Amino acid sequence: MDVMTNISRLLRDNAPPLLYTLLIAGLWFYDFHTLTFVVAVFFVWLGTIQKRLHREKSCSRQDSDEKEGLLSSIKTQHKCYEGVASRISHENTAISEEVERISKMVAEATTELAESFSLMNRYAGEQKSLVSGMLGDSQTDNGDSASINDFIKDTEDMMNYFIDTIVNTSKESVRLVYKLDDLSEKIVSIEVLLKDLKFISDQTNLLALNASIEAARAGEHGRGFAVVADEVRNLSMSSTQFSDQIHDVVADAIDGIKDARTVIDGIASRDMRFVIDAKTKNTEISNIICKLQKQADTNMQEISLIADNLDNSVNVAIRSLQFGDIVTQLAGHVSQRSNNITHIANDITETINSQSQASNELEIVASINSVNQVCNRSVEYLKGINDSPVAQDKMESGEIDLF
Amino acid sequence: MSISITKDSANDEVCITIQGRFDFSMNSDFRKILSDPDCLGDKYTIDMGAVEDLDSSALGMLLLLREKAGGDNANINITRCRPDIIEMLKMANFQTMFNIA
Repeated sequence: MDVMTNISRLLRDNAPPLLYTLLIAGLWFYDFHTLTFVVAVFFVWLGTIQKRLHREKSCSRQDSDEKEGLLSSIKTQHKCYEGVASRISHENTAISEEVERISKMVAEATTELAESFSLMNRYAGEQKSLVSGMLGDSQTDNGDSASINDFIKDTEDMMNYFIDTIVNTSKESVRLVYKLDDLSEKIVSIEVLLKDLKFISDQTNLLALNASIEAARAGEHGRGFAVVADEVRNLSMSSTQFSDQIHDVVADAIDGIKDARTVIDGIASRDMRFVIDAKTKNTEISNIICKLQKQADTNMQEISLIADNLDNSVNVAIRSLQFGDIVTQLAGHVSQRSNNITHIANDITETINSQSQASNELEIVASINSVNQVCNRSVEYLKGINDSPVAQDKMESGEIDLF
Repeated sequence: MSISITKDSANDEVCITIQGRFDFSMNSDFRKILSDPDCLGDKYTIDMGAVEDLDSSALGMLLLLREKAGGDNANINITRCRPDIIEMLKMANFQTMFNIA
């Protein structure tokens, strides 16, 4: 089939020359005249030329049509490129503006937050130092807690001393009463002795009386003896009087001892229930104070813990504020990338514009090559840009900056 | 309101039973325990089950008995006390000087 197709195409393309050649060959066979041969050759050449001209004309028309189409397509493509580049420029301008706004807002917000956190940090520090001071005070020997415990212990000691004193006073009072009782007994024995003395006096008096009687009976001889008897009687009466005086004094002494006993009774007999109530109340108050103090200590420790946590949180917040710097750097980089894209778009647009006047194949090829070169250059340029302008991507890894 | 004394000679133990309000009015009866040779013993038991109340002079008398019985070496049991009486004795630190039950 291929062979047949080729033969038929050969026949179609070379039909006039073939016809002329056959015609000349016939004539040459018919008449061997040289001129005829020349004419024949001329016709053959003519046919060949005609064929070639026809072919070239046809080719030329076809090429022209294709070129026109290509130029038109390229121009359309240029317009498309221009539209895209223009749009890219426009979008990039918008991106730059928005990124700038973001940067500005973040910068303002970070500044305000930094000031706010800085104040919080200061207040937290002050609160912590106050709480630490209070805790420190209450935990030292001279602190409130120790003072309260000392006070409670002192009060208890004082109470015990008071009770001991009362009990010992009672003990000594009872002992004193026993001594007074002993004394009373001795005084009572004096009174017994006085009774004996009075008996002697009475007997002496009686004896003196008898002596006086006997002296009177003796008459003149007994007169001197009567004087002596009177004197003895007088002495006896004085002795009785003296004994009565002693008896009165002893009675007074016994009364005095009784009074003293009553006074000592009052001293020795103290109501212990009153003391118990006082001690119980003191213990209750001490317990309440201890409980309150313990509660206060616990609360202070909790407050201290909260203050520490607050301090830590504020420090974390301040450290986290570095996001402002990072965001600003990232925004700058986004701007830079956007500008690069604008630059490339402008470059491509300029190249396309400068080559849009191409009218023949060579210029068109040059134009396309230029565009390709710009594209390649742009890709290489973009590859050269650092992809990670901000190495730090976590806030924790940064140092604390207290602004 | 009285004090009764019994002596268990076999154990050389003196039992003292006190009734009513134990106060200064009992000091004469109590003196008998301190001064009577028959009331001396190695061991003393004071039954205070019937004691309704006591004052500081009672505590003083008990301390005098302790002195008499040998001070720190005394062996004195105070028994059957009411809770409030025990409270009073403890308040005066008597639990360190007497056996209180």
